[in-house]
Amino acid sequence: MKKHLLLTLFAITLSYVKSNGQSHSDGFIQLDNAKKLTVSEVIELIEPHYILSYQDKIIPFEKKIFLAAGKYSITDLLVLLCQGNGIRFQIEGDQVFISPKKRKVRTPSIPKYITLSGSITNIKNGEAVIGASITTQTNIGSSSNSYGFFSITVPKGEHTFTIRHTSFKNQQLKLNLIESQTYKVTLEENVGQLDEVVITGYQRNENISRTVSGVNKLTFNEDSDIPYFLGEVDVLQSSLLLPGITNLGEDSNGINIRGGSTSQNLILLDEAVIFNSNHFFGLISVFNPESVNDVEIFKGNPPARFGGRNASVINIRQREGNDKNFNVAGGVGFVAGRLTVEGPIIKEKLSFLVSARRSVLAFVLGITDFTSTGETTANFDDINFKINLKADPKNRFYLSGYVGNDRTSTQFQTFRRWGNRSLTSRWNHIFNDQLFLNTSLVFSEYQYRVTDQREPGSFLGTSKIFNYNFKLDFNYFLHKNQLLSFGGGLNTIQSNPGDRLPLFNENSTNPIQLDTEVAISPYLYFEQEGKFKQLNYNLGLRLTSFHSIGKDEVFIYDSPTRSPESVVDTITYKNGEIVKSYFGLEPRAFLSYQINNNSFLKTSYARNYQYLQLISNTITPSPTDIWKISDTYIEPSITNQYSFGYYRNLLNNKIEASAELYYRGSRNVLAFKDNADILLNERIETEVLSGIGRSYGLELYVKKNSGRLTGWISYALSKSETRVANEIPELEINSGDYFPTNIDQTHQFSATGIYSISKRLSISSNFIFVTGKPTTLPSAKFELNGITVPRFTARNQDRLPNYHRLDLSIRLSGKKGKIKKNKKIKKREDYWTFSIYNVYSRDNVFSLVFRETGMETNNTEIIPFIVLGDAIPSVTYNFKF
Amino acid sequence: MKVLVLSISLLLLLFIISCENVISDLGVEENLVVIDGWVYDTEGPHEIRLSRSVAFESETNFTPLNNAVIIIRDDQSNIETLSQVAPGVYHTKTDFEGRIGFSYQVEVTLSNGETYISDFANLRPVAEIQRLIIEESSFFIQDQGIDEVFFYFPVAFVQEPIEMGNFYRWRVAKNHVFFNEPEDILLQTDRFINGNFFRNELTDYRYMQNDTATVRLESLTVESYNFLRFLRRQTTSLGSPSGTNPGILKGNIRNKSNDNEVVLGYFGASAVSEATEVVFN
Repeated sequence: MKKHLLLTLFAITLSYVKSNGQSHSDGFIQLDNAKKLTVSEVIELIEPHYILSYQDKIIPFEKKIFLAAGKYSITDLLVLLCQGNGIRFQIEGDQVFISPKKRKVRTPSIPKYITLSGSITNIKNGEAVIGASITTQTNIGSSSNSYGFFSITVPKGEHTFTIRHTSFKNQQLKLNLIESQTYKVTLEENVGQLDEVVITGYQRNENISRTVSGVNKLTFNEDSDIPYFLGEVDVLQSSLLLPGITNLGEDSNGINIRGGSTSQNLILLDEAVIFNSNHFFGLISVFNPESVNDVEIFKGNPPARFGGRNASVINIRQREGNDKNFNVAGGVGFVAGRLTVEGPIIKEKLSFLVSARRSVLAFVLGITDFTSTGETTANFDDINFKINLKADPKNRFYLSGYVGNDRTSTQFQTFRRWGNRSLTSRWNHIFNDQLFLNTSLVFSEYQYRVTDQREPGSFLGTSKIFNYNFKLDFNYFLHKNQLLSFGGGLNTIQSNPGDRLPLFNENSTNPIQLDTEVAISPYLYFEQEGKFKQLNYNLGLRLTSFHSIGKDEVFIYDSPTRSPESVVDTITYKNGEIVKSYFGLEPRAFLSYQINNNSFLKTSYARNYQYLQLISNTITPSPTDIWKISDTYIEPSITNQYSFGYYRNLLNNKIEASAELYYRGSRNVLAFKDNADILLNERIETEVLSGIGRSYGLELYVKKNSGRLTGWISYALSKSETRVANEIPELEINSGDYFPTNIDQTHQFSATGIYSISKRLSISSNFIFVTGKPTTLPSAKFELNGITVPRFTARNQDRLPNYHRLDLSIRLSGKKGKIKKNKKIKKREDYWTFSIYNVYSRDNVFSLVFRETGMETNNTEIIPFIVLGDAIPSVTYNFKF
Repeated sequence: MKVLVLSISLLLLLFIISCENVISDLGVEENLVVIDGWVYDTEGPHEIRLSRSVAFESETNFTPLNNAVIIIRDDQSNIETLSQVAPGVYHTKTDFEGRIGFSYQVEVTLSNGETYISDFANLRPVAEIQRLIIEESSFFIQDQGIDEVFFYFPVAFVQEPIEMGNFYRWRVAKNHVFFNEPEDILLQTDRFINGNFFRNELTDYRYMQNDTATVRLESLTVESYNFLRFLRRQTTSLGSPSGTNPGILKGNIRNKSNDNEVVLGYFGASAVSEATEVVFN
């Protein structure tokens, strides 16, 4: 109003008073005489104060504006500029956006939506940035998928998109969207930011706003401050610092999530199933951190696109390889030496990454089996690779693989070798700005091989499992924050449960070859992710089926105890004939209710079918364990998990906190008869029992994200129980009562702190406390054949002493140097890590051994068996250039 | 900083509460009847041992049961009565010999009147040890210089019969004393070697020059094989990383009038084949 008056009043003389810094709006322009100025002249007056953004075609540059004499603020000028010209302005910081005035809505129809889609990549190496969020100023949001593809549909017009990811600097993108368009977003890493967080939600605040709950994500890059285990960054060992994730102590393969067994974790490396995740009997995992981009752990309820295991999904993605520069990184420590080479083959089009690792010393493990005579030596190696082709903006190809081997040998020439192999080929195709397709063909294999040269056991033993998976995954980005994901696939599994062949021709051993088992498992899934007011939801359904295929022989038993002697008939299935089919209906639901900006309530439900069971009657899994395909007698195990959580961020997202309750019930839990004989047994059904299980708990987590001191504290209170009940007492365990599973650990507490002393020096430390594992103590003893025999009654009624441990590591970065090569200056970085595992030399008890005290007396004692009782120092050197 | 203080104090708290003793109470004493004996196809006496189980921490592991009446009967209704020769130890007469193909059962009547019987145990034939040789091997001690230490181990040659389903136990003696630790329960099935002429290299048994090595092969039934396999597992691998959960070791003996009573032990029958060799100079 006021501006209208100004317009008509004053006259001529032009001079302006420049603002003195602080605020742009302080700038005034003094007109001593009334004057007619062109629009472009007015723009020139404004430009020293603001950056103007406009499209030329909407500005009538030659049009004259009459200005009366007087004092004008910049805003006044902007108003005059827009007046009657069908344009409007908007001030944001030091920028002014000039845009066409919104026309009156002519038809009461829905505002027109347009889509912005494209890819998000790391500016440094061209790798896809996964899980970056894109939000508009009006809080419309989307995020990049597993391949860095994003699509966001917004009302036509001007938008400021903010792209966020924890490992990257935020980026703002101002676009005036008139029609759908694609955009390549590149993000810059948070280089050298010492308060960087490693175990994170997706982006600040994403930890709480993500619909799927119970997810932990670990990212790996050269600046990661993950605590070191024996001087090595380790994917799975690091996860033990999170609530609800435990293991059975040192020297035990795998991790246990929410009271589930290790075989209930679906471990995926670039979509390939990894059947055994450990090297060195569990001391470190098979994943080379230098080739890993990130790890997502779904503790219980995975979205519908994942399935196949009861307890969790651990999704590991390999890095793609730098498509701009060649890099070499590596390191050497007490455990292993590593080397990674990556670079472009065709710049910004075709890139590769190769990473190799090998144990440095042939580890002498007294710990592998203390009952065997002689010492065992062990070593391992692995290779990862990935090739990535950006064929054109709509097509991208990936090929990645892994080969790993563990080897042991004993004094008497028993050689063992085992390992995983995988090959993943993928094609990403963008149909249009809303529809994205990933096609994968995945192969993975696990094999175990043993040779024993001594008679009478001289033999070559092998077991193998192959998995082929062909799948299609569609992402359809609808407007209004909705994402549809759907797809399906065909999974083929072939298991060679065991062959035992003579090592040499003259051997006395007879060949034994168990029948190959084959199964096909087609599946379909559908997921809808979206937002309704304060409620975020992800509703999904997974339909699975599993068919074991002949040829096969199925034994019919006349008694439920199924002893080998009670076989009354055999049914023979021909090649290709379906022996047994199972169908699974697996609903998944996640709801997240936003209470306010900083807090969310989340609840979820999932059902999971597991069609592959690990045949293992030892307490800790072993590399010899065999995967069994569900068949006539071994039914798939089924779990239902419910969770409820409260997530809250404090102090402007500097502190993340969460509390989550869960309950998981299981059916068809596989258990084994006492004294089960599972070695090369073609009638494994004679050795197994079936039970039900339940596990439940509370998980608390607090994490500080920024500042010199970062870190997190986690606590879990939980219970994990099994019940094996039957009308026939022989087929029961513990009289059919619920009893604690081997991995029931009531309290789990961990604290991790990372303190940056200077840019080059940081210290990290972690402390872990876990309730002792359940164990069975003898109730009595007696003598038989001159041997003292402990007598046991009910299983797992006692506890080992509690486990606790403190680790410390110091990271010292070298001065950043530069190398001149081909006239180019390259950065060189290196760092040392010094770490101590088990600082105060706690004798953590792995198990109890019952022994006679000596030759003379008949006294017996219980000896605690300790795997790593001493403080273990280690040094690692890492470099990159 | 608060986080640090909090974590340190929690750490200390946990450290204090977790300094506890390794082993707690081992439960109540059961004192179950233990019957342990074996009949061989060799010259007697054959031994039955009677005792009660004791608490795990107790100083002894053998509380004898005396003044019991014990008979061994076969499936042809022949009866052999045993006599007590030491506390809890009962012997058959010297001329009592098990016979291949016969089945045997023990019946024990305790002084308190309770009667226990075993299942019938079949005495199966055993494959012959056709030859026993001694092989030399060595290892190095790398303490001062490299010292090669020689040792000797026995190798037995056996022709396994063509019929499938034979089970064996090996026993090894040094200078006529049998090794008798849990690790010395050496079991074998013919599953991998059926019908073959095979050699058993007993590399875990090491002899010096002039020692006498005795190797014995005993026949087992599937039941006694499974029992001994379980016994070995319960006494050797528990607590090791490859260990299983302990289980209830069930024998083949029961109270005649009370099926619910838990009776420990095993009664079996075996045929024996034996060979002896002196380690050469």
